Amino acid sequence: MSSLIKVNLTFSGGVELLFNNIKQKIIEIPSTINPPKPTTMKDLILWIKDNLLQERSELFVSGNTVRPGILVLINDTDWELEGELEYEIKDNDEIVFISTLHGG
Amino acid sequence: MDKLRSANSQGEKVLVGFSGGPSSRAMLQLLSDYNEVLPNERSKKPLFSEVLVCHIDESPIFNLDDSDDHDVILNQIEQIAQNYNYPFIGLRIDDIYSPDYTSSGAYNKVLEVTLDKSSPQEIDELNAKICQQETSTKKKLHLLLDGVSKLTVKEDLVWHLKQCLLINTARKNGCTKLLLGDCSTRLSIKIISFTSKGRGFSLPLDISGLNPWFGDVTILRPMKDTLSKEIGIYNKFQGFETTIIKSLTTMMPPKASIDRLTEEFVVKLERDFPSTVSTISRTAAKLTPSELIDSDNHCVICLMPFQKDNKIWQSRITVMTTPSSSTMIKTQDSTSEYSSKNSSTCSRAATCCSSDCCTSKDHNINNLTDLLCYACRVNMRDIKGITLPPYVTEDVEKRNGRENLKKSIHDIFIDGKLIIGWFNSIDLIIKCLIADGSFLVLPSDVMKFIKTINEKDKEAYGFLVTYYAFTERSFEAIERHFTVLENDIVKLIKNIEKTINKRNFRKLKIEKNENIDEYIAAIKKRKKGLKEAIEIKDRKIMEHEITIEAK
Repeated sequence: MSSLIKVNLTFSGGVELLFNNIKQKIIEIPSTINPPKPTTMKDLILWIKDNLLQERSELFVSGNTVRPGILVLINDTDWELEGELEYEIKDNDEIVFISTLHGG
Repeated sequence: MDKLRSANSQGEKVLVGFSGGPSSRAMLQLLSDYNEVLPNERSKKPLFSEVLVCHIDESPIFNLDDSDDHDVILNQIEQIAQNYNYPFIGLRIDDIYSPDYTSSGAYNKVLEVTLDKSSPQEIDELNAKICQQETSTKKKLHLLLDGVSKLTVKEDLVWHLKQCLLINTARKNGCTKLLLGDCSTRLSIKIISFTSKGRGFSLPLDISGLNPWFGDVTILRPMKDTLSKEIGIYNKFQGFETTIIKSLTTMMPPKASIDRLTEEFVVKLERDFPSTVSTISRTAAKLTPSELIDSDNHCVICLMPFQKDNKIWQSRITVMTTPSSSTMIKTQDSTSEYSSKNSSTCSRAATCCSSDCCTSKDHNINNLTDLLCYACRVNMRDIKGITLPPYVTEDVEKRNGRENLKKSIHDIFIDGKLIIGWFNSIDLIIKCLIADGSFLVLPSDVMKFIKTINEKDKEAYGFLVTYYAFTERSFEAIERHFTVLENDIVKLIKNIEKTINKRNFRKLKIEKNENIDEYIAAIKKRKKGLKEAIEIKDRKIMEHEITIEAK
């Protein structure tokens, strides 16, 4: 069965406004949200959208990924190097969302 | 990453425009890294002798209730500047309404602008009047922003106010450089949105890394080759917490304003085609300012240059009245007497309003549209009635004064030997002195002239003031040296006065409100006009009190 994994989320640069000004949050999510595949970034983003996002989801997600202009770092590495949405989340991963624009 | 080297400046004072956002945060760090001189490098000089950090607090735009929260942010920002040991200047966006931010430093009239829909012209005329308002600066700012319905226009206005504040602050503190933290992503957004808003003429200046337009203050944009993503990562690894500054479009949907929409567009493109931003900014960087750029043609609101005669061009390309709408107006007219009644009362109200203005020393400005750039004029179409800050008013008045001076000199031109012209202030006299027939008079020439006057006390040398001699250039030249010359001019005038008194010139006074044209006509009638001298006694007689010789 699926076990819970811990993920450390950080929001900064303005994204935290969408999350009630919470800058950091440790969440626990199932290791397989969509069995049998392990949880990926895609699942995580949707999970965040459904569970954490307070308002205006269109300012955080567009389609099934984050809005352009929001920088995502996985363990201090640009997520583009980690396979973006296909990245499989591991226990104790640190994921940072930084908005690089003032508009959101 | 540091492109600060682009400036070949040595030991200059700089002002950093620091919003608290990621880009200016990174800029501050890079600047301090770059400017730092380690103790073991004694021969090295810091690039900038002094760095001032200026933050403009935009919160007065919103009626924020949670002021505690806001104070925390301001403290954070000030703390950041103090960490670098840079002096911090905290301004509020409504400070633009205080008289400190005009070029004279003591001017507090605002310009009330309303849209004149009644005129059937193709371009909406603007009614503007200068008046004194006694409300708080914050209230004035709200009056400005509430009078505008479109968010795009609001954003534009806020940016113009900010830019003016920054430049004036830099001037006041003797800074020769102003650093702005526009990153490459922001610039490419600006490029597209400014083009779409009709700012193409001044665009090369607006986006260049080095903007010399303001003369004594050069605007540098050291972050212009850095992507916002790079800045984000840089800040993350430096461990910087950037503060979140609310702007007008924060939390707004993408279609809220042109700027916001362009931002969305550029950023979305950038994701699929990663070199979009650099392509846009590098292409636009190849633009060079037009040769037609002329310091006399600057917009009074955004301070940027505009193309001469752009109003004519605008009226040529714009269709304001479609056939169908004009018939609609006709039917409306026929159906409702009410509207015509209404308009008559309106016009009556307007006239009595204007007479009120005269008594209270308010002036109506008729040609405001001529002093605006295309983009600002388009913006003005959207207003309901706004009050523009004193810096605009001052500029408008100055420019109008210039036009009037030109006209009045032309009117009064009589080829004689003494000072001829209509003077209403001492600096106008200087301007007349300057323009003693040559096309470009340097301040040194004036000094020379004054000296000859002083030596040859017997006779006041007259000079011919010709209309064409009033090149804008000579105005500029003398304006810069005005304070140096004032005493000499007073002396000069006294000398002339003495001479005239010796010759038993009869004195004739013109009352303040007497029509100058009638007066001139009267002189011309007498046919002896050639030797007439119009003279100003001293500063107090500035109110058109003119002495005249009549034999």
